[in-house]
Amino acid sequence: MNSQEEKQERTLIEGAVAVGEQLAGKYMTFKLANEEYGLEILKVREIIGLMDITRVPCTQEFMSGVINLRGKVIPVIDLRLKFGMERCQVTDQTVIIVVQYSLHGRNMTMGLLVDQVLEVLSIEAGAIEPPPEFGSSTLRSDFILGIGKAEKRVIFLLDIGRILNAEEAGAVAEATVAS
Amino acid sequence: MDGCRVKLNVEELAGAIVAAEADDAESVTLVRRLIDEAEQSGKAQELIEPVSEALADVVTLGSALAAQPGATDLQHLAEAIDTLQKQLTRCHMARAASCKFRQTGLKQIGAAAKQPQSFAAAKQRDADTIALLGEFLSESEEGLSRADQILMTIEDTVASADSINGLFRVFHTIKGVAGFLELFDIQSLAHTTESLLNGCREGIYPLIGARLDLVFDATAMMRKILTELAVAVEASLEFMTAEDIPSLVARLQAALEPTFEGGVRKAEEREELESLHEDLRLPGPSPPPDEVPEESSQSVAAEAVAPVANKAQGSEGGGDPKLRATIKVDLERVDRLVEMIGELVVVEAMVVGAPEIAHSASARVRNCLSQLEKVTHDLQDVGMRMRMLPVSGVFQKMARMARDVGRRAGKQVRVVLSGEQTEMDRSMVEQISDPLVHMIRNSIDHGIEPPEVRRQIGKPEEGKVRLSACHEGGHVVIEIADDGRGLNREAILKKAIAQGLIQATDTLSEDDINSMIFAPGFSTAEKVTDISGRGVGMDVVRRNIDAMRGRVTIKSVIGQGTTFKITLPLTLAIIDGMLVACGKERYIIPTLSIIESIQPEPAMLVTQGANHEMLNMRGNILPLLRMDRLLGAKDAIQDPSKGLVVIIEGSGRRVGLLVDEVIAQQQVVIKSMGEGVGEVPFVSGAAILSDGRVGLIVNVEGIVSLIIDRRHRGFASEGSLVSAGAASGTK
Repeated sequence: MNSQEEKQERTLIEGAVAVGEQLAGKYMTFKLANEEYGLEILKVREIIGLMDITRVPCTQEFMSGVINLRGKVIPVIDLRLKFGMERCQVTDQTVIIVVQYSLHGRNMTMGLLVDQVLEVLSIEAGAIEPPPEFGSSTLRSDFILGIGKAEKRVIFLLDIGRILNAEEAGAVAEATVAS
Repeated sequence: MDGCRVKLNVEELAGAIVAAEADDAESVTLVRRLIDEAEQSGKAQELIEPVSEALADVVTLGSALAAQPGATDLQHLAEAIDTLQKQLTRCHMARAASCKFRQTGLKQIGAAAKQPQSFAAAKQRDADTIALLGEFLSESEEGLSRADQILMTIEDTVASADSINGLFRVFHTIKGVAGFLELFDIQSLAHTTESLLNGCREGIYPLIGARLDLVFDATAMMRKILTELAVAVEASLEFMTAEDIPSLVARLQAALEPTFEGGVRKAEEREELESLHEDLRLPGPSPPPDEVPEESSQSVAAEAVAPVANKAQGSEGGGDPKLRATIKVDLERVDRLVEMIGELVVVEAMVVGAPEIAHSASARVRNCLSQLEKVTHDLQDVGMRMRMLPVSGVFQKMARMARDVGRRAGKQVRVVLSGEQTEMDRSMVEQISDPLVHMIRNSIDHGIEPPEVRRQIGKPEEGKVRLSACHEGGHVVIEIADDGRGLNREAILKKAIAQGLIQATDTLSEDDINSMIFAPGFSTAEKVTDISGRGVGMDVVRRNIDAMRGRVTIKSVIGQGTTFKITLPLTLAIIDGMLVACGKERYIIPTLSIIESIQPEPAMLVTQGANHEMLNMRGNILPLLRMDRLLGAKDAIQDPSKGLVVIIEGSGRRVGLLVDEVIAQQQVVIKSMGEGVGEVPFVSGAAILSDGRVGLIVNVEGIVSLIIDRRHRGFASEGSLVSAGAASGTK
């Protein structure tokens, strides 16, 4: 192994450690099919049981609709559809995770429809790896902050701000009208 | 004051743009110069962001215009200026709201704060002086509005002792405080005006004709000086005296002589006067001097309207208005309260509507419920009232403007106000001002005939514009009626065909033709005057009213006049809606947009090809849209004769919308759909229904504009639209 390769190796490891340190903390984990995901606990506002969702016309498929959260109207996203998975059967485990975060200075509140909530997990810096590179494949992975490892499980840590932004949904709506 | 100088510039600019002709190099140069000026003064003052952005837009458009003048550019520029004005007004409002307070102990504070230094020399004003000036400005502004109002009454009727006293008091107060603040020019102007009024008070000469005009001018001049003073104070500059004060003072003094005959005026004085009405300062030709309605005030005397007008305005203008105790509350808190009351109303409806409770046999429960219902509705009423203001402020502004516009157009116009105490949501009071300005200008410029024409056809020489407001079944109705020549439907039709808005073969109802005047760029005026005729105004009217979810209708009889009727909701936060079912989904259609709903007979349905469905409504053919296809709903009724067709109207167009049924009529609180959903076509907002679910509010404008767009594109795209709707319906 020549010195240049060695150096590269070291940078990679250092990078990984930096990512880990940044992301270490408590996560709320949930399940979509057989996959496990994590959300920063500070961004989760509450978990509510499935309720009537009002479909909003002319929006993308993953936009389930809007719900009434104690007088406030918030959108709900079906995460399975967002990630290109099959629509799930609704069970008594199906819940809506209400997340709150700020994007471009605006406070966003949104519901995420998931199969099942698992637990709150502390993930240490050493157990977090940077997101995988998919190269030029069409798969978008920019909403994955990193990959956490706990026991033998792999947990995808989500960047909630990237899952949906208003522009995306709006663009879809306009496209529908223009066609 | 932030943006005050710019505001003046922009007002001037707005005037110039109306008068500008695309092919007239001179007027374009003028516009260009005014834009430069506005830009300069904009740079000199640090403007808040939205204002400076809007200003930048205007500047860009202005450069484009100078490079290649064209009518469409002018229109764009006019729109940009409109936006800029709105932004300015908004920031002005925000400021006014923050500094509008009345201090009773003005003198006491003043005595403590009095500094021996001269005002003009004092660039460095201390905080107390600035506070005093601020109070002086806001008090004087109130006083001047009162003076305007009194003057209008006097012009319409005769000057009563009460009204002259009212005027006297206004100028007296200004004089006192101005002297105290060492604003000597203002003091001298106020003093001379006061002397003139004193003569009237003592019966030496009546307050009519030229003398009345002079008082009008003094009021306008005073307002102008005060605005300049405000600019100077804000920018910590020296306050420069307006040069034209001495000449006005001299004329006022001349009028003190009992022999004064101010019927004839020198041309230069007239011009100077014109420039005083800065809101109308336009580089147009002045009306011929012989048409100045100097003699009108004598001829009017006490007519039938007089007692009414006196009664309505006398209470405010003549005697001291009754002051009510008020407190200042953060607007945001009021909004929050109103919003929460809205929630309460919905929850109350949920409780009352819950089957467990509704079927309860207990008389006590039912009794409590009905009480709860009453209290909630009272609370809602009170809550809504907290945000409401009377329209009187706007109305008086209009009356003043109508007088000035009438003079400029060489017409005698009397404005009769009624129902000024009608209240509506404060944000709407602000928004209604623009449309009213356009409509009144239109009525005077196009509606009311010149005096000689009126004489010939046996109408009184003086035209009448009636501005009234009232509550009507949960809505506010504002009417503007003139007794002018009425809409010339033939001319409108001809023009509409020439502009390609309609086909020569189209059969149109009277209403259809009337509403043509709202089309952008439409004007039947053969000549564009400096007041109107460019075809921008009525388009603005409809857009503003649409934005308030209101409706405007026109009634017009040739030779007898035109009446515009604006129907507005009481508040923007709550709407009356029809809850309709479409498949398993439910939507809310704003009641104000619904004309009627019918169960169509099979014979009324007309189809062309596979996709174009129409409804034959008593001879009117309306496009028929299916809500389920539009919104992608499933399991809806497909046979129109089994469902229900709701006729909706937006932007003056009517469309039939096929739904399954109308479930109920209910009031809902409008909510945004939440960040993240983005803009959704055909849906304007969401609301919580009485069962706690979210219902979507149908965007009637969106649906109707779809039809208009499609008409423009030759109906080419309906197939794809339907398939798009169907695609989103499959999820």
